[in-house]
Amino acid sequence: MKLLAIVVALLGWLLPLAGLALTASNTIRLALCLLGIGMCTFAILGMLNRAHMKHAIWKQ
Amino acid sequence: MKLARLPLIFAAALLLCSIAVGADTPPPATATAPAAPAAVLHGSTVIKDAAAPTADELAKGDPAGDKTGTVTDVAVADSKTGLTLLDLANQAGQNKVAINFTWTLIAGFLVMFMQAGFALVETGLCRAKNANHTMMMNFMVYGFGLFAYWVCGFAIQMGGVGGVANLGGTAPLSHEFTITVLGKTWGLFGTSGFFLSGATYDVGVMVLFLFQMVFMDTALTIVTGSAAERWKFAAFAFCSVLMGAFTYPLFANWAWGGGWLSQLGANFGLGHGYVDFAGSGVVHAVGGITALAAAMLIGPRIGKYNRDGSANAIPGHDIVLVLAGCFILAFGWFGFNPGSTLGASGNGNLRIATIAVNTMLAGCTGSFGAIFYMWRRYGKPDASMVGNGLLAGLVAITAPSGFVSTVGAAIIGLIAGVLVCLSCEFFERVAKIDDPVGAISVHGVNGIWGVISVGLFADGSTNYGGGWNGVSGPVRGLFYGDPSQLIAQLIGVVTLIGFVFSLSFAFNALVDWLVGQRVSPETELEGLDIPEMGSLGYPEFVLKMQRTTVAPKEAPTTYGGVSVVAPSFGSGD
Repeated sequence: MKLLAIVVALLGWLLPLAGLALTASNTIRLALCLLGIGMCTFAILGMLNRAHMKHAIWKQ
Repeated sequence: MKLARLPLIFAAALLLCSIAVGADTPPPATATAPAAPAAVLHGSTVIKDAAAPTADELAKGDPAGDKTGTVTDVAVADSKTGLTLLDLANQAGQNKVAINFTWTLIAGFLVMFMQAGFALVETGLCRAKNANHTMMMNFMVYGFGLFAYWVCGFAIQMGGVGGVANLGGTAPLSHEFTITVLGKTWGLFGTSGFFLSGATYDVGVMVLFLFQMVFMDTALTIVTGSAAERWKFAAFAFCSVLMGAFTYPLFANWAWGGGWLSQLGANFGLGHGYVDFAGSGVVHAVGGITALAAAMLIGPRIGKYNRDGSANAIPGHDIVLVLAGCFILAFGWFGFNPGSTLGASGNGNLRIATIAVNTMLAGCTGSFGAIFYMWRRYGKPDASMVGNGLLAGLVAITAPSGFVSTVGAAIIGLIAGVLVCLSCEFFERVAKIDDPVGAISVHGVNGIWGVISVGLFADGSTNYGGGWNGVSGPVRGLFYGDPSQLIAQLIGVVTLIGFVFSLSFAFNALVDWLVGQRVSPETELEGLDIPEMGSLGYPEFVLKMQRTTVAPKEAPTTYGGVSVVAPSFGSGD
């Protein structure tokens, strides 16, 4: 789960970079940036943090 | 309720003022003066009859100061020939570089002193039983970071930056490792300047190294706050070296060292590429995001969360230290932002006045935003959050300080002050990530806000005498007509969240595997001072506390197999 979260975060980073080559439209580039930020945030807080919280010290 | 609306009304008023000011900006003057006939002068032209005070006049002293510093102080290359135009030109050039050296070095000294501010803030916000440990982390991060940066960090960051005109060239820093993808060249890291040896044994390079080193150390010391009160000192040392050697320099190269983020404008037509004047992203967001990775991996302090997931407040032990530290940081920020011109003499460098005022204003409105929010939500102006509001405003204005008007700076700071409060609540209550000093919110979240704000508020008033990041024309944000600048900024943000976080997490996980990141539950409950450092921060204070221990309000529980009682918070006085 943790590894998957890191992979999703890295994909979220690469998405807007790929958009630079795929299109010259600023609107699409902007949308890809926002999508990438959303993916990264979800990966970190929604996946990675959740995986850590399963074994949180206050749950033991 | 009326009080609650004040920040919104204030922000709306400032926004309207900002747009109005932008709309009323007069066009640049186009009238040209009649061309004067060009006089042909040569460097060898001898200057005669230059009036200078005589030796007798100087011997009488100069109480008014109008005889000191004259033509007699200009160095002459050949005493037989006398003073020539070339001598004057050389003296003028050296004076310019000397002014810039002095400015940049003094600014660097101010930034170095920010370490003391961070140490006081973090120590004050932690409990007395961890004072020695927290202070020692803030003290030693300076040495660990400096060493790693000297070995390889500086080379990776600035090894390919090329000439820095304000500092006389820095020509030896001219090797960047690049790859070609999509038909474009992407700079990845520098390759000259390891150990500051070889051709980089150069005065201009030394000035640049000192200034960039203290910036890097600022990023490193942010992490010690989020991981405080449960971080093994050995793990802290390893993590700091890795961050100073690789994580920070890599992103800093991409933004400031001629790397691919800075070239987004030249390569893909996105404004001026990623623009980060003094480091909201490079310094603060990198530090804050690494702090997030560390805090997530280490986990919350014992007693921070109850079994149902609700959070307990763990107040710091000395608010006086906290606010004194905030003032020291605000003072140091006058080196951080205005110093980032890397000079006071040269095209556009007098902008340092505006940058200093922007810095001051954003810190002020940042504390306003936080005090309004806390007063409205909790009925009292919380001192530690107001301090964090000040810092949040300063963090947010760091990237845009060189490109925005004073109205823009005030809006950016005000938003930052509210944002830091919301963010602290989110990380504590929703994400359940324990951050004792609010480092993730102050530096990470507001660092990102600062990066974005360049893409919104940059007013196109300056380009520092040339094309920023190799793109001609001034930097403009969305509100001033260039939406593509905002896209470049967002690509910087996604790089911070996606790449920098992943790299930081990997390094922290590696250190966890090697030496373990977290102290034992016994050590944490006792306080880290004796088990980790060998001596207490306040021995007499702790003795007094032991005599006046208050019975815990909550039932005994266990953490990590160790039976403990829920801690009683506060000084015990």
